[in-house]
Amino acid sequence: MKLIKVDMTAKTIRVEDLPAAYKGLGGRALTSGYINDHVPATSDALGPENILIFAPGYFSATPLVNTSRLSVGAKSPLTGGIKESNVGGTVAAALGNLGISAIVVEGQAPEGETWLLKIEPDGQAVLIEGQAYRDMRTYALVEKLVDEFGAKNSVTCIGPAGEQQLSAASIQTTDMDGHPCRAAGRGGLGAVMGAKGLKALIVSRAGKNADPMADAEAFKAAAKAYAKAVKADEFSGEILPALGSACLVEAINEVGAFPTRNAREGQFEHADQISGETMARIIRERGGKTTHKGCAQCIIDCSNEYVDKEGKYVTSSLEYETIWSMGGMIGNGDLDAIARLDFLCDDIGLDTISTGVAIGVAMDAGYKSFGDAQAAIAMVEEVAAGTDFGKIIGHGPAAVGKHFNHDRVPVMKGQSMAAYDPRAIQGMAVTYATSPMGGDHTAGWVVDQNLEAFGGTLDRFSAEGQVEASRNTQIHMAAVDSVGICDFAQSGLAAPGGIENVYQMVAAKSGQPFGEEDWQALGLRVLKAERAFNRRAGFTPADDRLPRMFYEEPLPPHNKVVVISDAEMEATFDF
Amino acid sequence: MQVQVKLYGTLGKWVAGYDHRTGLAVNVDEGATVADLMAQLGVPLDKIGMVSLDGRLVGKATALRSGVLVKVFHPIFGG
Repeated sequence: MKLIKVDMTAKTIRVEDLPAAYKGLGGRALTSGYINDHVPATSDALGPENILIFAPGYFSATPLVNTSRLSVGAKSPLTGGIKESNVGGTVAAALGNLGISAIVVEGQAPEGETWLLKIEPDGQAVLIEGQAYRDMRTYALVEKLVDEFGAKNSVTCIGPAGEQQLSAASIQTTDMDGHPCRAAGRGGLGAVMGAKGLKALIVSRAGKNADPMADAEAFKAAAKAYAKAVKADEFSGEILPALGSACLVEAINEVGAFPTRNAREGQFEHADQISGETMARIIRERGGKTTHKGCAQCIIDCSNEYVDKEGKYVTSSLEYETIWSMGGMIGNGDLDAIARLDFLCDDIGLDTISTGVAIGVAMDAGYKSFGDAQAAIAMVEEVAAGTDFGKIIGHGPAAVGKHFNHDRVPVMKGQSMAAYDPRAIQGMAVTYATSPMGGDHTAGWVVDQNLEAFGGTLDRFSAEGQVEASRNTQIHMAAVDSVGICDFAQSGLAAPGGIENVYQMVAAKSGQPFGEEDWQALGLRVLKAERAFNRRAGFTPADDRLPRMFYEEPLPPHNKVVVISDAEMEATFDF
Repeated sequence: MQVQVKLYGTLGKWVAGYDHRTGLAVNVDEGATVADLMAQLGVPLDKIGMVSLDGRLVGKATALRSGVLVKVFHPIFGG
């Protein structure tokens, strides 16, 4: 339960015990709590007062499967509010195995300096001068770091977009194969890392010092039951391994909720060319990999390796949100081009969602035609080249809208929505508008609750029940992001005993009783901290809204608009 | 009458030789429902999430029409 504090101004490192105020917390609860407590809310997100914090989930490096989840927190340069960006890969398990609860990066190196932070197998941290790595793209960077430091490390890094401090810059981290293809994409936290002068965090995967369990046997019993349910579940046990999250393309398109051509339509006529079914077939035919393990301790294997016609690696892992943002959203039905764009974003260090939507807004404004994949690739390359227009794309959709004086910009609190149009699934309107994160699908995914075929009881075109569904899911997800269970492994909640297994595991690790009320309290604690920060940063209830286009432009084919009233939005968090 | 069928996710495994690119052309009795069609194909109803007929979401008891495109989806969970 160590906290490593790195001062980038003084170049000092201190290792402390995790302060009592944060005992028993991990992941999002730790990052959001720490940021709320320590960062002046009105400070410059790219200045020395901001803090970048990396925290593995509370369950990372325990025997529970699918728990290598890292929360990265800071004040976001994209939204101006608090941010927790969540990513898989191997780094969370690696940090957990070193007994590290969090790495806090404070201060700022002088402009022009580049540093690496290396965590040794004994948990000691050291800053290494990294000028030789400056401006490198992430794949080449990782290759060079492996040459220099060996392969038994996780690398969490930024690319040129982060070094340019662009608001859509991601933090990339390595998967099981050592590819920097896992992204803490949302919120522009790559820019914060760039502003600190930190190019890469290199974490030894050789740690053997995970936090002790109060009751290891009880933990193992609950973890075993949970894992069994993850494997037995149709979705996480069979469909995700076969198709990955891309299995959602056809389903969401069919219900008319697949935002197409900058959300002018809800169905994409070329969805079948970019679907999970098509992707899996192409990968199989070319000798790539489906059912690929991307993250440590994963038993779902939803990842894939997309290859070109010659069978050469293009990218990993091609996922639903990217297929949407670089596909339907820009009118592009060419899966090879989507794969190339996914790779470029990972390599340059860009959020695929924000970048695709930024391109979509540019096309909507008439800069290029929808469906012009080569123009999209050129725009992303411009980001790496550092051209004036590249910087605009790299700052995300709101910057693009401002540049073209174009008001069809699907962002909430400055961050783009994801691949579910809120006009066709009203509950997503509530989540997008009210999440302290800005437009974010993982903060409160209520799609299933809106579709009867998936057990939902809500009318997806009506406001009734949507606020309650979003509120409850957001509270639950804030807790899930804190214990660090992969979103897709929530199928484990179907195990006999259900969520009680999760409560038992928290209790077995901490030695303290933990139950339903504590779970609710954990989620609420996170959201309260995040909303408190945002209020101090200047956000008001008027920020819990969607752009006008969603209230005024009916979305084909159902021709509905968002019907959630302002008062209902404001009732979502009545605390 | 004949209907066109597309099976999504891993549902194709229930029909020998299913090719997703072409889907299936299936002859069904007049008045047959979605559930009847699934029984005929051997796709267990509990493996099915969502069904659409020519793009409109329907329940499993819905009657089929000649020439209709039946899309059959798996359950979903997301994020």
